[in-house]
Amino acid sequence: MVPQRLLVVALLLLAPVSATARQRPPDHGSIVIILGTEPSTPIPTLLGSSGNDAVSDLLFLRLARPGRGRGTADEKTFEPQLARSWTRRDSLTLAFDLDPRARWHDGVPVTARDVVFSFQRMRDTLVDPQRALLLRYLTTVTAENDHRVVMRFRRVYPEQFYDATFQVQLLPAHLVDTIPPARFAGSAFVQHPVGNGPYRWVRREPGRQLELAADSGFFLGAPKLDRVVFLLVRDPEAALNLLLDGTADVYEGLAPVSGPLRLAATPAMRILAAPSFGVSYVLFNQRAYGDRSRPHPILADPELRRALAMAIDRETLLRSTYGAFGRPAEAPVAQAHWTRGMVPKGPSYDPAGARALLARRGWIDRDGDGVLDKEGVPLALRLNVPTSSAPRITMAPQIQEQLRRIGVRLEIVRLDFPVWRERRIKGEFDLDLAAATMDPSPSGIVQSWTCAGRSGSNVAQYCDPAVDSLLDRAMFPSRPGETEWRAAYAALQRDVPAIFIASPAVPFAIHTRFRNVTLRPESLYADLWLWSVDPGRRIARDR
Amino acid sequence: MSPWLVRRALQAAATFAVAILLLFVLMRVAPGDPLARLNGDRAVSEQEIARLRARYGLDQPILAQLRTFLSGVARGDLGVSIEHYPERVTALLASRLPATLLLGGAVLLLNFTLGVWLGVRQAVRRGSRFDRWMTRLALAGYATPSFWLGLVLVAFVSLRWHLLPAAQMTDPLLPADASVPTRAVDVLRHLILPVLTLSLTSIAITMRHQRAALLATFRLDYVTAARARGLSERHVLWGHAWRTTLVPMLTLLGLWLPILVSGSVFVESVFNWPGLGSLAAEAIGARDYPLLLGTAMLGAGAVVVAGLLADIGYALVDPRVRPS
Repeated sequence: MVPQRLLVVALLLLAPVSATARQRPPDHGSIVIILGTEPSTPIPTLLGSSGNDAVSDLLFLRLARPGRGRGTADEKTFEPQLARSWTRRDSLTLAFDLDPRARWHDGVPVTARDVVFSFQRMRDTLVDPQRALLLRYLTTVTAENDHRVVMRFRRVYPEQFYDATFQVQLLPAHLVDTIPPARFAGSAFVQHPVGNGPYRWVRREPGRQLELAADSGFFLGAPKLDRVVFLLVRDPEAALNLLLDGTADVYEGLAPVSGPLRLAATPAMRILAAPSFGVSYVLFNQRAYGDRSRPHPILADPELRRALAMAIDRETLLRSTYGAFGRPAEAPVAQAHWTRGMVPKGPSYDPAGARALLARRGWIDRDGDGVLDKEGVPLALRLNVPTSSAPRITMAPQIQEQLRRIGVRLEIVRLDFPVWRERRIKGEFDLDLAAATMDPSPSGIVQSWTCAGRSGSNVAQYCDPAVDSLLDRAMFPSRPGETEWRAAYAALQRDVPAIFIASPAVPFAIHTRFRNVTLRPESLYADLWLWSVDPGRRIARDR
Repeated sequence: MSPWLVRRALQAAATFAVAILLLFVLMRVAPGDPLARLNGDRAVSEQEIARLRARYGLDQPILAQLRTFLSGVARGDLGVSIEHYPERVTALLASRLPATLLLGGAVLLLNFTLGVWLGVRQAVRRGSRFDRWMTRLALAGYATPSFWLGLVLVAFVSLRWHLLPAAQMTDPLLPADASVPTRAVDVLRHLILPVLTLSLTSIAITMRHQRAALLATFRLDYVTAARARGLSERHVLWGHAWRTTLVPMLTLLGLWLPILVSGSVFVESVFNWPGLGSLAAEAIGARDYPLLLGTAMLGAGAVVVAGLLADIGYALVDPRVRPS
């Protein structure tokens, strides 16, 4: 009797728990997405992590978004979202007509008041200084009527429309305008947000998961994936195991080299290369280690920087670190940028040429210790690397070895992320192995690679007025053209402010039962509401 | 309450206070600015950073920070997490504690039931094939790193044989309105592998301690006398010999008890178990001082309380150590 009972208990434990009994249309289903960072505040103005962005893009729409070509300079290529149409009244004025079908998830229509309020909030330098900087040329946002908004700029430039649409996700004024910005993060709205996108909020279990449900009344069409669950999984091995055992359907943090090998034997999963706005590079500090009042005693010389760049075999680095997902970068331009074809080729791998160039600059191994020196100073540098980044930890020893071959002693300083970040901000580095996810607009380059950026993200204090001037001409051309961008990138390359290594694609693992999967680099999940399930391949949780 | 107990409780409180003080100071002198992450990754202005620094008291001298922290502790307020702003540390700890208690409690239960029983069986059947095999297995288990064992269990039990889930505490698609029995079965299914991982590597210690303690007791005169009086072997074992082994086993229990609240960072990572261990690791990574201190206080408190409980336990089971 007792063994029989034990058998029943064992069978009960081994049987998967039934998720749902509700019948759905044949191409509908559920999806479980693994996130590596917690979407604790997926609300416009409180974003700043990939987890928050992923959820926010399903809850909150923009007026319009860049089209498939990802151009940010031509308003004709944009796709409507909350704005049904738009007209250009003159070179400084844009008028948007909101889609009258658009509703907040509480049933209230999306109106011009929401647009005016959201732009006002986003342009507040105390709320979102980075966004306020990007919207600096926007002078007024006014409501002409309930569904028409007029935006006026102080300057003519090709990306007016991009700034007017992409930079701001709308917030519901009727729910938020009474909450002061300083109290917003702690407000009830953040605990239970009301959006206008294809998915509405269901619940969040802190530290575990977040659930959204399809908004069947979504004005652009009802989503086919009825239920979206975001799982927080920080450990990559656990994430992979959840994919392999069928608990999860999607993971965007796959290790580029080992991940595909692990999934190769699982026919239920496929891997897509999602284009990204990410660039990895070795940043040269232009100022002395920890002292921004003095130029760097070694790295201030652009010819020396060029020699170091010539010593790096980027092909090998790319293959070993990013496998099939790596694309070489020649400038701070990612593979998803529309200006990617305008970047001239950077310094080629040429260790002999690098050594000769260093010799011409007076760097010779006089004492025979294998390290070049000049006036008694050895060519010894420190490379800061955050231990939180597996690709960068993989790259660092290879860079060290490649530089050793030309007589440079490189000390790898592996740091916890907060310490790495702190030293980066304080300029306490010679070389910094960095990775950045850039703005979809190539104009985002101004944040880290111009003189104006020195008070912010330009931690290396790189400043060349000639480059600034060329970038300004590229961003504000008298007539549209590629020449200005080419000239600006070439000037930047001449200065060698960094060794640009790669613009990797995102290895995106997804279950093969999903159809119509499109991934947008600025927001991987923005088109999730268009995905569906192959009716012949539904699994239990889709029914 | 006896003066001994009062004295012992005061000692425990002092130990706890010193531990917290040390943690507080060490955390502040360790490199890494907790707000550095915000500057650049998130669009936070210098003014906002300054405001946050003031809010968390990070712009104050260390003594002032300590005073603020202690006054908060006195009010039962451990502050607001930096990484999980605007969530309060106490709320975060409370949300993770059940998962840790469940995992730790299950491991302890298995350790001190199966471990004691196996240790006793080994001692009773000393030198037998069973004893030899259990010794080998125990040593193998003891030598096995728990995170590795966890990965091996997942590879076979979950990914190859599809018997149990690979990770998580619950099925992510379990309906919110699922019945209590359905939820309980779901949690149990997810609990088995992490518990096995932690138990298989630690049960060996309990077994070996129990075996050694019982073998030493079997040699004592009063056990021989009990047998000479004609008592059954079962009575001799459980009624006389085993009671004496309770003191070393209580010591062991005192050492294991903190696992109830401290969690296991590696095993929680491998199984994505939402416990306090992973929360502490996250707090360390982000230099989230308030959260780190909260988790450290729980851990230190558990160690101190476990020691105190073990001392009280000695006094209860062994009259020789009972204070006058």
